[in-house]
Amino acid sequence: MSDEYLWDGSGAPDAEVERLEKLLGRFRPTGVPEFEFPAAATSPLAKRSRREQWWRIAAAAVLLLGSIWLMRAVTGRAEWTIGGLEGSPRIEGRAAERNEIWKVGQSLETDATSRVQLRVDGLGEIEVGPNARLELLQASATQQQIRLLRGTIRAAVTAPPYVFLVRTPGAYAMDMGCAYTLQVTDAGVSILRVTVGWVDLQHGFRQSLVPAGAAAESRPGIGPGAPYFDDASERFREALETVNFDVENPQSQEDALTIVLTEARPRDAYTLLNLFRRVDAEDRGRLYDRLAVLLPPPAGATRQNAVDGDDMSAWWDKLGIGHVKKGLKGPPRIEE
Amino acid sequence: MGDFSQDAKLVHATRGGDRAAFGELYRRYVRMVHGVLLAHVPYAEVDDLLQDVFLIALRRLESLREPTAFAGWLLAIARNRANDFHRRPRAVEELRDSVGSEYPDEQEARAAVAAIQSLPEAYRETLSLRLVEGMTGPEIAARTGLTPASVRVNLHRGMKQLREKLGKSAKS
Repeated sequence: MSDEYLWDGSGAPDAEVERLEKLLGRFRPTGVPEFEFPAAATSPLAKRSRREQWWRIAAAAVLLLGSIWLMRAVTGRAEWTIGGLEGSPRIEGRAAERNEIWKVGQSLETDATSRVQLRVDGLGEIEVGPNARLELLQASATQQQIRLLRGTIRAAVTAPPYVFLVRTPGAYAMDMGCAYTLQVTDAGVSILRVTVGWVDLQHGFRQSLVPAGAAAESRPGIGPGAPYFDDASERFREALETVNFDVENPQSQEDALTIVLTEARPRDAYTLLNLFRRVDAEDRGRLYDRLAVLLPPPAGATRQNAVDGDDMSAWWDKLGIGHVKKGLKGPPRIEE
Repeated sequence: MGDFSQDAKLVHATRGGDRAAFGELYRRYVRMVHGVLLAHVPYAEVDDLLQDVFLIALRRLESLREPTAFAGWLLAIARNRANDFHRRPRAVEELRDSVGSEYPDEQEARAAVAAIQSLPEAYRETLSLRLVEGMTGPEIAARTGLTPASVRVNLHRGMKQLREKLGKSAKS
């Protein structure tokens, strides 16, 4: 098999890849695609009677106000207030003041001796540590978004799941009703440590759900790695780092996976479960073999199913670490 | 990484009322959005959702804070629309795919798409972009903002799983 052909079409053609290209190429848009701009003048609304239009606008306004009221009742106001500060933190380059509102689009910076406590009614409290830089991206009733460029924040969130989102260079950290610490290094690596509840990390095609007592790293351009419990052995954590992020060296990843499997305790089964989506069939077989030693397999689970990449959610019950909140099936919605 | 500064220029021009600029953004990203949608929803739904994604992008372009982040933002819209499709109640479970029956290997093509859609997310989108849209690994990295190494690994591992799945379905 030629990986170069799969990569960029160079090298000796791989027969199966070539066959699939021909087979699936039919689904590709044909010709030079053009965007169909909406014709405002011919929109259905333009053809309706003036009275009907007013009724619709009035109904929409009532609905909108009702929705806003309902959301605010649930999530409270959306203002970010400087609740407390130490040293000389700065908003947009000027000295921040206690009780000041941090507004959307503004930056917030702390130096080596500064700290800030931020309060948002209905959301919770965020503590910003020294040498941090953040931006407030969104402050609506349905979603609060900040960008953490460097430094550490400590979050204690009481809002419903997925209302609070932190963008870091390596992943989105989406709160699911929890408390956690999130650090971004100067290299853009983010390290999440969850103390209560769950946090959902996502970037591009990767996702990691991180429970209380666990941590996970994310790297720019790669995304979140599989989470691990804080009390895992150092050897386990170092090897996991290679499995998670040394994507240019499959052999070193393979060797590191051997160490991860050897070092894994029953509690580390959670990490192994998270690795199933990131490795190939052969390694899924190795993961299954170790997992079956650490935990009694659930009814119906087979090695072949695991190797085939089938759903592993039945194993979660065996872990005894609880589930994310019910009703949150499927990927969450990130407001664009 | 991709030429995101060019995206930013096109976003600014579109905001200034330049339709041709948005047309250019559409041409730059239509294959990427098409491939990502096809990784998640039935083929018959892709064209409607594709138009929907770009209409939403056009309507919300003013709210895009960083014009250089257009590609990632557009991807988020596409994935959200694909998720919406699966959340939407449907009286008839699936509309029949409209792939022309003139293809003698139609069943095989559908089975291959279904196999791609059953892969882990990281692999299905990358493989859809490579095998359906004909994008190369470097192009996928440039358009999505993923590192070339990540894309290469996704392609390699995804293809390995796809071979296994297709091999298994051929036997059964």
